[in-house]
Amino acid sequence: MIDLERFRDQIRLQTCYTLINAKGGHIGGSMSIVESLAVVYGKHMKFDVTKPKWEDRDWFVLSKGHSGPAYYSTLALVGFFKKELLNTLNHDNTLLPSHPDSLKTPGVDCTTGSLGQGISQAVGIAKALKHNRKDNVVYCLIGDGESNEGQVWEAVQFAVGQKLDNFILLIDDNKKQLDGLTKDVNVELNFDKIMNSFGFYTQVVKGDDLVAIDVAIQNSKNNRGTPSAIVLQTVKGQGIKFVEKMANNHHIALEGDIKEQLMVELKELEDRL
Amino acid sequence: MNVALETEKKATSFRETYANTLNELIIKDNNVMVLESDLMKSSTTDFLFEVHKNNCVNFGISEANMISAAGGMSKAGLIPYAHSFAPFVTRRPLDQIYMSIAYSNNNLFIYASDAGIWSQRNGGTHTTNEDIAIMNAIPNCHVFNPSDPVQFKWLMNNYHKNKGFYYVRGGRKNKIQHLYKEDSTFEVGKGIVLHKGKSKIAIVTAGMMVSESLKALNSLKHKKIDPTIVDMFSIKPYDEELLQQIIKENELVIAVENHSKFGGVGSIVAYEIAKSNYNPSFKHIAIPDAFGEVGSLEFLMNKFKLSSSDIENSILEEFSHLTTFKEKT
Repeated sequence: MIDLERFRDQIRLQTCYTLINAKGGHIGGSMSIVESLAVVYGKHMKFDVTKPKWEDRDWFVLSKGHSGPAYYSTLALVGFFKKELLNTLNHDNTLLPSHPDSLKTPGVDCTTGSLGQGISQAVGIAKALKHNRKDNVVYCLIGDGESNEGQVWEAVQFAVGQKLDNFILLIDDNKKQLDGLTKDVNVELNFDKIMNSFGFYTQVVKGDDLVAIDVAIQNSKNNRGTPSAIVLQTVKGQGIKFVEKMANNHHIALEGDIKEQLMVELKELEDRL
Repeated sequence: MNVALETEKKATSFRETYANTLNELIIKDNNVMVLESDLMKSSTTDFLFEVHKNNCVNFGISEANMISAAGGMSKAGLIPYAHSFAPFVTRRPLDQIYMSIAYSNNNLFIYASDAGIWSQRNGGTHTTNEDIAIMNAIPNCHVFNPSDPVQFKWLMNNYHKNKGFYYVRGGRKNKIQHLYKEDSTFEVGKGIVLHKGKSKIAIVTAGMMVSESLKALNSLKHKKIDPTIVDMFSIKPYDEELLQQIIKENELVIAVENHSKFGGVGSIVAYEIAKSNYNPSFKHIAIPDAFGEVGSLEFLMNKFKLSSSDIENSILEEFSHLTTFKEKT
């Protein structure tokens, strides 16, 4: 059994190094999904790194595609590709583009980045698995800002209507989007109420609580007849104190002073490992 | 390619062809999925929702979700066919088509019904004069404008066999006379010379305008004008070799289409003429830079000058200008 706390720290550390190497990127939304990735890939996902397209695998769709760096670090750490590849993020001819590309990166199930489309692809996969009488699970991670997109709600309706109980929707409710706080930019949604009223089996957990996330996923896997939603109360920039405190941390340059500050925190993280 | 022309009177609507072909495909292959967004009664796939309910999904009125979900289904091994009226499977879910299907190299057959003036009584809001232009610009997208139900059926079967991303536009309710014999086979990227004429005039056309062009041919023959007619049902990829040959052999090339003058068959023909070492006159019978309108097919054909007599008149007009034609015919 994988040590989830250690795996979480490794993902966070690796993601930050990847971003530092790229001289910046989508750090805020990458940090807020680290714990979820750790629990999904560290404990629940069924996959085979030697056969990324294995027919009996579980599926993961990162609908909030801009958090690619955290996803890539996770995929590298579980062994889909060598960690050295992470240093090529966004480089010319890289296999790791800013937003996930299923034709380029081993282990990436769906191409995402245009927000709202990942969740629809995920429900399509879940429907196909049902059609083929497979009992695999489809995990999909969306953002609260992403939920401005009408398509998210089309997919939500479909998941309920089709009784996709093999579909587990993780909502990174970090309360921020590119232009600022969700409540200032457009609206802050009460996902607990909304998902419940749509008919999802809905749980709300602290987004940095590995045990709580683990329990919520297990509950969702046991749930029958409806899709599941896990609302993750997260902080944008989660786990990196000075990034958490930044007002605008969606996409930042990681050079000069900021890089130095980040290195100090990463040192602490590294010492813990 | 093995094409024979139908000589008997035989007419089928595109929607009957669509639903019946899907029925055959599902019986053969359980991976075939029929996707609708609240228009199964319009495409008449509703009977499939009864007899093959596991192979049919109604998404409700959510085309964006339907297209992206089709991408997911394709990833998981299914072979999706999605239908809606042309605007709702082009303009509306365009980015979904782009990223979830084309960019992701997923399989999808889109049946865009009521394209161009086929929208008839649904009017301007439901008219796509620009769908070919839009879809042509998307890499990985195969674009077809079949001229009859036999070709349409062949495309459905060919997609099932070879997979990929097919965008197929056409009519819906109207019965369409079969142009090709039932067992005709076609080739993606190959045009069909329906009639090899003696005058140095060629009509390059597609879709519903093929039969209008053939009507014009019959009438023109009485006037001793004998144009060549090419069915360019495969718009992307298109038959570059055939077009170059047509351009080389003719002094007047006319593109005829139920589509905007921008970005369709005419644009391709003009591009090929520009590329070539020959300089035939070029005429274009197409919808001007205008929105669609409501009305009967006949009204719309007259309004946008797409009828066989418009084709005929256009040729006669050019014919009278070009003395070389007179000398040669």
